[in-house]
Amino acid sequence: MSTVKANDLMKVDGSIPTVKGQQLIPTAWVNFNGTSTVAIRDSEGVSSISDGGTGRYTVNFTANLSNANYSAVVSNTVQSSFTNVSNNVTSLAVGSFIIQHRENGSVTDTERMLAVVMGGQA
Amino acid sequence: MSTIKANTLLHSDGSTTNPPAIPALDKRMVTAWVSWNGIGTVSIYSSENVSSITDAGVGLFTVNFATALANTNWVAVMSTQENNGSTHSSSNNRVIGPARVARNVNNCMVRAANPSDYSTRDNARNDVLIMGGRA
Repeated sequence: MSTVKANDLMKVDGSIPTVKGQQLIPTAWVNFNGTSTVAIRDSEGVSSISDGGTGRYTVNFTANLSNANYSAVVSNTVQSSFTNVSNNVTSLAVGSFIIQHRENGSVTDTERMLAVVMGGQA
Repeated sequence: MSTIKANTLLHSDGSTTNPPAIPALDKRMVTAWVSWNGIGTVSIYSSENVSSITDAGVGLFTVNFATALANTNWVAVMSTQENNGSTHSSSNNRVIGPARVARNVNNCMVRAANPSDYSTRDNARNDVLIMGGRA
């Protein structure tokens, strides 16, 4: 018998079970407000966002990843200019990575930043 | 009893790389993802369900899926990192997005460019996530 029917799957302590071959399940994700005092709206696997200056944010993981070869994809809503918008993902480390957001070529704080992390698992 | 408690779930073959199927979640999980260096000889940092990256010219890359996707209605989200040593000036900005080519179930072509003049550029790190499910 290789089919199990259940409505819920959980670890014996009630947390998320380990699913072998889980590289297709996001490792972490976060939705945060990058203007004024940075605030996380919702997240998974992310403990905090550090404000590193205008348009610059450090995403801190709840637990260190196993390696820094993970994939971090970032998106955003535009704050003031639809011209020359870019998100630079840099400084990938096991505990964090940095996002730098620009609009019209200048670093800019923006109201909604979104990031999904894949990989970096043991 | 509709709750199963277990610390580890394995495929019935015992493999730790072949994931057990959870059909109801298939379309909610990422179908493929890849992070690669697009400068010089293209090299993959890490990936899942991506067999290779083909260098199709400056700033043009084809992401080849290991297992074909269910259909051509997939969603691709992308991000990029500027080249090492970038001064973060406007001329060094980079964006990455789907190329204007016909979609198919075996690969996805992406284009990295300088948003100020739309000229193509190679990037040090490119990241793509694909949603939509495998065939």
